[in-house]
This record gives sequence, C-alpha cells and structure tokens, in this order.
Amino acid sequence: MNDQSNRQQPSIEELLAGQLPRAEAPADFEDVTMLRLLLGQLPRVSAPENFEEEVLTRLAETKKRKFPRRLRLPQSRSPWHWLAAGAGVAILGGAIYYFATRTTAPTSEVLPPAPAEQLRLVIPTDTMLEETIKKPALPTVETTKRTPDTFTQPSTAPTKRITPGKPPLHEDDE
Amino acid sequence: MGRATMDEQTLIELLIERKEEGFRELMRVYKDDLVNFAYRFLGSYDDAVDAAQETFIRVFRFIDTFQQGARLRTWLYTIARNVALSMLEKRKQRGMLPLTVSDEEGQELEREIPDESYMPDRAVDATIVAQQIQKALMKVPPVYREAVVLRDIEGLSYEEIADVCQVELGTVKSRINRGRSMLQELLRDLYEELFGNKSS
Repeated sequence: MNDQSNRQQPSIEELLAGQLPRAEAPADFEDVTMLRLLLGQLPRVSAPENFEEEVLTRLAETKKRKFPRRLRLPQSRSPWHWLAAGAGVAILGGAIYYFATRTTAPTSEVLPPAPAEQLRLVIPTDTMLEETIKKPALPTVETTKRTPDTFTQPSTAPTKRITPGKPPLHEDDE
Repeated sequence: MGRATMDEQTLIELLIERKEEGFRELMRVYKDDLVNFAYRFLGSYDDAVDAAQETFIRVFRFIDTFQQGARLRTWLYTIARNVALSMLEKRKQRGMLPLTVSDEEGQELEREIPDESYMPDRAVDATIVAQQIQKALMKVPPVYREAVVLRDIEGLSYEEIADVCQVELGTVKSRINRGRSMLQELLRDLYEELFGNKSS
C-alpha cells in the first residue's frame, strides 16, 4: 500500500530538481581553481634542523636581558642626560638641605643672655617698715550656711501621750 | 602539520605549566606550518624562520593569556601574523619598501603598499614556476596576501581566518576574492604558458 503511494508521488529528488533553480559556477571558476591548484603545488617550506634549539636559546637570552638593561647606563648616555641628572641631584640636595635646616633650627638656636637689670630683684625701702608690713590675712574658709528650708532637723520635744481607753480631756473640763 | 603525540588540551596544560616537554612538542607539530606561512607572506626564508621562532617565544611568554576553549592552531597563526606584520613595518621603516604609491583609491594606503622584497630561496622555490608564483604573491598587498595564503596555502577555514585576522567573515571572503583576482592578473602569462589558453 505504502509502496504504491510512493510510486505515484514524485520523489523528493524530482521535486527539488524541478522547483529549485540551478546554481551555476561563477565566471572565474576555472581561473580560481587553477590558481588554487598552482598555490597548492607550491613546495612546503620546512623549518631548519636546529630550529628548536635556537628558540630555546633565544628564550633564555630574553629572560637574561630583563635585568642587565638598567646596568648599561654609563655607556650610551648623551651629555644632556648627565646635565639633566646633575640638575635633578642639585634640586634634590637643595630640597633636603632646606628641610633638614628647617626642622633643626628651634633646638639649636642660642638665646641671647638677658640684661642684668631684668634679672635683679629690686625691693623698695619703705616696704621694710613695720606698719607697711601687713600681716598676711589668714585664709578664710568659706562655709556654706544651710537654710532651714533646705534641711529640717527632727524635733526632740516630747509629744502628747494618748492613753488608750481614756477619752481626751476637753479644756472646759479641766 | 606534524603528527601530534598528545591531545591539544594536554599540550596546553603542559605549556601553562611551562614544561619544556610541552614546548618542544608544540614546536615539533607546528614549526613547519608557521615557517611556511611566514615565508609565503614575507618572501624571505631567513625572516620566515625568525618570525616562526619569535612566535614560539611569544607563546611561551604569554601562554597565560591563552583563552580556554580557543583553538591553539588559530592562536599560533594569529601571533605569527602579528610578528610577520611587524617585520613588514620594520622593513618599511628601514626603507626597503617605497613609502608612496600611486593609488587613486587612497584607502589603507600604508597597509597596502605592495611588498616586492622577495628573496627567492633556491632550496625552497627550486622551480621557475614556484618562483614566479611567489613573486606574484609578494606584489599583492599584505591584507589580501595573508588571506590568500591562509586559505589556499595553509588551508584554514574562513572562520579561522576571521579569528586570525580579527575581521568579519564577510571581510575575509572579499579579501580572498580580491587577492585571488590580483594574483590571476599577475599570473596571466604563467597561465598561458601552463594551460595553453589565455585566461579571462
């Protein structure tokens, strides 16, 4: 059943052949193919025998070169370089001197001696008289007075005793 | 490409660990491919060997920057291309190439100066045909030449070339087509000689 239906219907190849447009080779197809053929026929170039060893040597050299570069200073420097370096050192030295002297000045400074008049103690003669000499006032200790409002002492006066069972006497009764 | 004795992942791990075994294996597998690419691009065998060696040195120094998941082969070609391009720049600075060129387009003028500094190596290009092809290659501007060499000589896919040259896929295709057209023009006489009929 299935086979019969397959035979009646066109196959997928037939369908595609009828429906899809034919793709054509570009105009320069042969030329490009021949060119690729030619390029493909070029001999392959090989690396030399000692290729690996040379690479390893070069690699070791590049590792070494990292450090000695800075050590080659004196060889190929122009006079301008040295002039600039000298100026830099001078500026730096000046700056160091300036800051060094600035910080040490207060401690090393020598004060001029004070005049003798300023140091002598002058006592007036009349101050030695008896009446002028006053007794120094004794220091008074200031005491704080407490006001009754602030403090109330409990009273010690006897209070009226109330005997139980006996009614209080009236003033009239007495 | 040399026959690899270990899978790429193992090789990368050895390289990251800075093992000499891994480094030697890498060179054994890829050295001929890189020398060949550099020679077809630079046109000088000595420069090509130098470029390939420099490529491996850079691999050793910058293996930490290799992104996991990327293809080692593509990465190697990328480095080799950069090294070769800087060599071309140095040649230009040394005055081996003309600095001005009569080009009415004026775009990418500096990059597209034809490099005709082909130094045929008899041991490599033994036949006249090979020398003529290489000479024609050197007349193609570097941007097109690298695309043609990577595709038609080294056999890289378009996607790989896009990765190596860090350009879009469409740019790769157009550069390859342009480069091939230029080569066809340059090799017209050779075509006639070899195939008997004048190509269009």
